[in-house]
Amino acid sequence: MRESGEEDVPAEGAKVTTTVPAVADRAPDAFSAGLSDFGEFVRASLPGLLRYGHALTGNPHDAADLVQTVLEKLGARWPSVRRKTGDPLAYVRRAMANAHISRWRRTRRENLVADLPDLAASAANDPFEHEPLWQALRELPPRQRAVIVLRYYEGLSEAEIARTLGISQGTVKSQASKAMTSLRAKLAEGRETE
Amino acid sequence: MTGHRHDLGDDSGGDLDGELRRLFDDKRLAVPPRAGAEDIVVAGARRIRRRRAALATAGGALAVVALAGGVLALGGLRTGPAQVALPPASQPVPSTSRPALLVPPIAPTAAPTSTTPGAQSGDQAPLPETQSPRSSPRQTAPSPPSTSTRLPVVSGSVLGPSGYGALQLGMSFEAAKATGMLADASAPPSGCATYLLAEGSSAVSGVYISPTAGILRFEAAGAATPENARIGSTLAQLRAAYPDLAKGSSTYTASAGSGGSYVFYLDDSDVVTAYELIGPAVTC
Repeated sequence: MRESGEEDVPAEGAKVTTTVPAVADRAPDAFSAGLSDFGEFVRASLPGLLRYGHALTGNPHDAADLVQTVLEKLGARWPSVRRKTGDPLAYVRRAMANAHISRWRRTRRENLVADLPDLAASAANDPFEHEPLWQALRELPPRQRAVIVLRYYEGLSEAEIARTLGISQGTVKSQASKAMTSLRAKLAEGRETE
Repeated sequence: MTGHRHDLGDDSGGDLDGELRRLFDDKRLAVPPRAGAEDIVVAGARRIRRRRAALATAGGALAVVALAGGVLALGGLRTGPAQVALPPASQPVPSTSRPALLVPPIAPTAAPTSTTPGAQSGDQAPLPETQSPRSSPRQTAPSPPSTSTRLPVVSGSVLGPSGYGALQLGMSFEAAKATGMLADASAPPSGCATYLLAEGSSAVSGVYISPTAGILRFEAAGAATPENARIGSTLAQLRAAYPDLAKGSSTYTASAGSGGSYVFYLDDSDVVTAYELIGPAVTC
């Protein structure tokens, strides 16, 4: 997904909320009205975000947790996001990439937004269990995996990835190179043992 | 940039690019939403909003105190102090911003992270959750009550130049664990991971540790740098405090001395929304 050149995009997903102004003096009704719009946005975007989260995190439970975390924080400042951001979906996806890298998961909670079997069952029924590439991706550090997902799932350029993740293009290049090297090594290793 | 479609990953000419695209195009990546999921998310957003609103009123007075020192070193304040100080106070890490829900029946892959209930580090807003008609029953599960806010910590905490308290950049996981400052250090990291502090996340929201390179970075919440930069500082203030301040792709960096650097994330009004103290080894 391409995004426009807005500069208010957070470099760090969990930091999205840090610019929220004091809200105590606002009429609560305006916020509630804004949230019906937010509900629509969530309903429409949830399947795509969960799928994207699955690619980012490598498993559906973490995907659901990541999506819920990022969307709730977004919703808490929805009116402001709507004012400042032409493409809230792009905004959410970038926030998810950043949150995945750094800070979203402190605890594993019961999932609320996706319809999932329990963890033991889903681990046993991982649809990608026999996909060597999926297994190899699982072993990448989060930042490297995010770079790969932004490149091959989102189709972003190196410069766009750098801006999305708040890192230099040099770092994007080196992270991507390391990731691809690891993936190739893992895949080669798998072939040898077959 | 020329040929930017090929600037990543094509270096050995394999078909890995194609395989990655095919994998990410796979229908099996779909994760079905649960019925009513949007209501759950909306209720969660309301809860965060209410908590922030409560903090905005309660935190204002403390914020003035917290910022008094910063004014001396960094020059003029920008806007209202409550607005400046609100973010760190109201930005718990994501999972602590919600009631800790039931732990799933089994979490075979999450042993290291499942040992710290999110609410333990303190949901700082003792705000009754009584006005959320759309909350599901689960979401009203009580989180452990918090009897005090952690705001006062904000005024005195300093991040840098080389660490936070006894935790220092480059320190090994074992050494960091031995300080007793990590909240959730039951197992050594198998990969790079972020750890919370036992004191809570009002000053520093996370410490990122590599199993090989040790502490790679600190993520600031309410803590200030020794030069009194903090979340809420303006770009002009940063420039005054750090003559070597350099603009990156979407961040500003400054030398912290002692080999470390500060990375500042600014919003579109050129106000710091987050910052980190990072070591020389920035990759994981």
